[in-house]
Amino acid sequence: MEFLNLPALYALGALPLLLLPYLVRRKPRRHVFSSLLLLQAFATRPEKRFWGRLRLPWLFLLQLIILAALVAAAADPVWRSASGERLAIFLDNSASMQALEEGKPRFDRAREEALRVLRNAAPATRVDVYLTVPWTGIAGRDLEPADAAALVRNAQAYDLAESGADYADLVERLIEERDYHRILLLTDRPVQGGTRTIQNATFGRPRGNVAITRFDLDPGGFGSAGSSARLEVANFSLRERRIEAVLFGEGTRVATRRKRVPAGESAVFEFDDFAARAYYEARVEIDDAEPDPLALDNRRYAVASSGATSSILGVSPRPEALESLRAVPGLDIAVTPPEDYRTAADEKYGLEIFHFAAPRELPQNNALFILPPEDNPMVRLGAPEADKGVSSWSDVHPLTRYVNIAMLRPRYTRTLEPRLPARSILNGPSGPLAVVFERNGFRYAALGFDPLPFLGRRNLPMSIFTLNVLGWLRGGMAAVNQSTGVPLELAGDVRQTLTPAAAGAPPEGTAPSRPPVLFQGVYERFRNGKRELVAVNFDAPRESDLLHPVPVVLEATAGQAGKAQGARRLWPYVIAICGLLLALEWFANPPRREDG
Amino acid sequence: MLPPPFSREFLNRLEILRLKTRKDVLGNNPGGYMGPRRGTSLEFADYRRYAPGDDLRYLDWGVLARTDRLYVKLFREEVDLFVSVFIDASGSMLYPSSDEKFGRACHLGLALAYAVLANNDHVRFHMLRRDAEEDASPLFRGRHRILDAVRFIRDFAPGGPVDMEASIARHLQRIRRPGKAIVISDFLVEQRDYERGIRLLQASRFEVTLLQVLSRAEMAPPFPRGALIVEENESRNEIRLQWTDEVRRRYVATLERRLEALKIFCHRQGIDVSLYVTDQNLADYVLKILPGIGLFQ
Repeated sequence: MEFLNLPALYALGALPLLLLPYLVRRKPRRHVFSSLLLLQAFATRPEKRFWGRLRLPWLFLLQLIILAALVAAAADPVWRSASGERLAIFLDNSASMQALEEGKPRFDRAREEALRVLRNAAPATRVDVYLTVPWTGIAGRDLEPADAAALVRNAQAYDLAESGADYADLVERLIEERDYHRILLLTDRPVQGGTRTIQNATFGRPRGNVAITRFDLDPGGFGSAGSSARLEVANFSLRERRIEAVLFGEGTRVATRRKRVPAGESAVFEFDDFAARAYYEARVEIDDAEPDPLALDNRRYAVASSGATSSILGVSPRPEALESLRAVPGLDIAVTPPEDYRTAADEKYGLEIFHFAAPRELPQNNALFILPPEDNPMVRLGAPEADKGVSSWSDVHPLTRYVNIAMLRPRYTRTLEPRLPARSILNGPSGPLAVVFERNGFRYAALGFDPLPFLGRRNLPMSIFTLNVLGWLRGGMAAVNQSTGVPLELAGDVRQTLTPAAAGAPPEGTAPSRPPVLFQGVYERFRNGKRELVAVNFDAPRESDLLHPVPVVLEATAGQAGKAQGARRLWPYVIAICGLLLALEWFANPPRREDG
Repeated sequence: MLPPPFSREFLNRLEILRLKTRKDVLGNNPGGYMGPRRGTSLEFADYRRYAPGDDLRYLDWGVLARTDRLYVKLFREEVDLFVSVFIDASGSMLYPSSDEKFGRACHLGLALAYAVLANNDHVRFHMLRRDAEEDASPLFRGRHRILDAVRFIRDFAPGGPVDMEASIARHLQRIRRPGKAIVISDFLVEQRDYERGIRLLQASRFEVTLLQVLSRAEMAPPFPRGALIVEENESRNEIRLQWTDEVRRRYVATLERRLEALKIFCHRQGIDVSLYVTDQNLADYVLKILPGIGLFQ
C-alpha cells in the first residue's frame, strides 16, 4: 500500500492537538453547591503538576484512530498488486534547474527526490524516465528501479530551455496513452491542475535573477576603427541591482562597465575601440549582498569576425540600386541577376543581399532580404502600404543604433510575418517592418521596405540604418554564434571546447547524427581544413526569469483513467471505517443535554 | 401582600385545613384540640364521685337510678394549638438560589402557618441559623397576622452554617408551651446532627413533622463532565472531583440512601416526614401530599 498524496500525511503531526480538549477539560471548573456532604466520597486529591494527571478515556483512543484514518484517507492510499506498477518520472533538466537553492542546485534536489522514490519502489515496478531537454522525451523505457536510478544518477542539467506548453501537452498525452499508475513530475516550475496520480514536486521558489540577454560584437569597419561590443543585461528582480559587466578577450580582461539596472528593466553596456581578439566572453557580476542564483546566464560568449572578407554578393533584378553600395568605404559588392545566383553563390561571399529576389532555401550564409518575393524561405509579406512610417522599434539592437527613427520614413512598406522565430526590430502600424534572426551561426535580416539606393548624407537616417544592417550582418561573417540546443555542424571530427574548460560534450546516443550543443561556450571546429570558432550561448530570457516561472498547466482530468486501472483506491473503505467508528463513538457516548 | 403562590383559591382551600395532632396539646385558650386536662368539651372523659359544689348539670342520672350513687361526668378540655415552624436558614438553603430553595421553604411554612392562623391557633417562626439575632418571630394568632409573618420572613437574611441541635436548643429556651413543631430543612447535615435536634424537640414534648426541601439541582447536579472544584455554599469549603456519569449515578444512589435513612429515623420516632422538591407545585403539595402523610385532619 502506498499514498498518492503524501503531503496530506503531514497532517498526522497535528494529531497530538487532539489532546488539547482533554487538557482543557482537565482544568477544573468551579461550581458552588449546597453541601459537600454527598460529594465527599467522590473527592479526588488535588494534582501537584499544573497539567494534572492526564486521564485519557478509551474514547480518546477511538477519536485518535478516526482522525488518523481521515488523514490517511486524505493521503489517498492505494493498493497495488504485486504484478508491478507503471511509474513515470519526469525530470526537468532545463537550464533553470541549475539555479541554486540554499547553496544546492535545484536539479540535485530533484534528482535526490527521484532516487528516493525509486529506492522505495517495489522491485516489480517498471519505470519510464523522461527528461525535458534537449527535447522533452523518454530517456529510459521500461526500466527496473535500479536501472532507472542509475539513469537518473547520470542525468544532468543542460544549458537549454524548455518549452512550457509542449512540456505540459506531452505530459498529458503520455499519461493518457501509456496509462501510468503514477507520474512523478520533478520541476522548478509551478504545476497547475492534474490529479493526484501526478505527484509533482516543485523545487525552487521565485527569485530575482540577472541575465545577459544579448551580446553583440562589432568587428569594426564601415566607419569605425576598432571593435566594439554591446551587452544587454536584464534585471529579472524586484529591486534595482548594481551590475558590473566585464569583457574578456581570449581570457584577458578587456574592459569593465558598471551600471544600475532598475527592477524589471534591461540595460545596455557598450564597449568601444578595443583590439580584436579571436573570441570574447562577457560576464556580469552583481555588486550586491544577495548572490545571483543562476550563474549560467551571467556569462556569454561571442566570436569575432575574422575580417578576412567584406565582399558581398548582391542578387537583384535592379542592379543599379545595389551598385549604390559601392559608395560605402571598404565594401566590395558583386551584383548578379537572380537567375545567375546559383553559380555566383559558389564563390563564397561573406554576405548575400537579395533585393526583390530570394533563393528557394535559406542560404548557408549571412543574408539580407529586401522586399523578397512571396516564395522566399524567410518571411511572408503583407499588403503594400504607403507613407505609414515606423511606429515602434527595438532600441537596444545594433540595427537602430544612432538612427533617428522619427526621420526614417520609407515610402513603400510591406509588413513581414517571419516563417521562423525571429526578432522584430522595426514595426509599422500594421506589423513588423524589419526582422532578424540567427541560425546555424549565420545572421539573417529581412526588410519590408527598400533602403536602397544608398544616398549617403542625402538620407542620413536611412543610410545609417543601412550601414547598421550591413555591419550587423558582417558581424556574423566568418564568425559563428549560435544558441545552445542547435546542432553544431562539426566537420573533420575535431571537437574541442576552448572555454569554459568545464563545458561538457553532447551526450552519446541522444542524436548521433547531429547532436545539439548542450552547454554554452566557445567551440572550435574545422571545416574544409579551416579552423572556425563557434560561440554557443544559452539564449532564453524567459528561462532566465526565475521570478516569473512559466507554470505547467495540466488538464484537471489528466491521469484519471490510468489511476483507476492501476491501483485499488482505498480511501472509500477508510471513510467507511471512519463512519463505523463514529457510529460506535455515538452509541458509546451519545451527546446529551447537560442537566441544568 | 402575599407572595404569588398564595392565590385566593389556594388561601380558601388552606382555610379548611386543620392540623392533626396525635396527642394532647397544652393550649392556652379554648380551641379545637384536645388538651390533657378535663374541660367542657363534648367528648366524655371519665366519671367522678359527686362532691359538693359540682355542677348538677353533669350528674349522670342513669347511674344514680341504677346504683343510687351520685357520679358526675367529666369531659375533655379543648384548647388551641401552638405551632412552631422551624425553617432552615443556613447557606445550603440558598442553592441554586435563595428564591428557588429558601423562598420555597418559606412559602411552604407560610402555607402551613396560614392554615393554623385560619383556625385561630398560634404560630411562630423559628429560623435555624447559627448565632442569629432576631431569629424567632412573635407568636401570631388570627389570619390577619399572616402579613406580619410574611414581613418577618422577608426581612430575614439567610446564610451561613447551622448547628441544628444547638439552634433548636436555643429556640426551645424561649418556647414555654409545646405543641406542634414543623421542621422545614434540606437536612443536608450529618445524620446525627439533625437526629439530636429532632430528639430534643421530642423531649420537649413537641409533636414533630419534618418537611425536607430539596431543589431539582440537588437531586441531579447539573455539573458538566470533567474535573470540578465544588465549593460548599454554607461553609465555603471546597473539594475537587472528577464528574463522570458513573459519579453522577453514585451521587444519586447516595442521596437516595440519605432520604431513606431520614425516613427510617422518622418512622422509628413516630414522626411524619415528606420530601418537597422545589419544582413541584406548592398548592398541590400542600393540599394533596401533606394530608396524605397525616399532617392535616
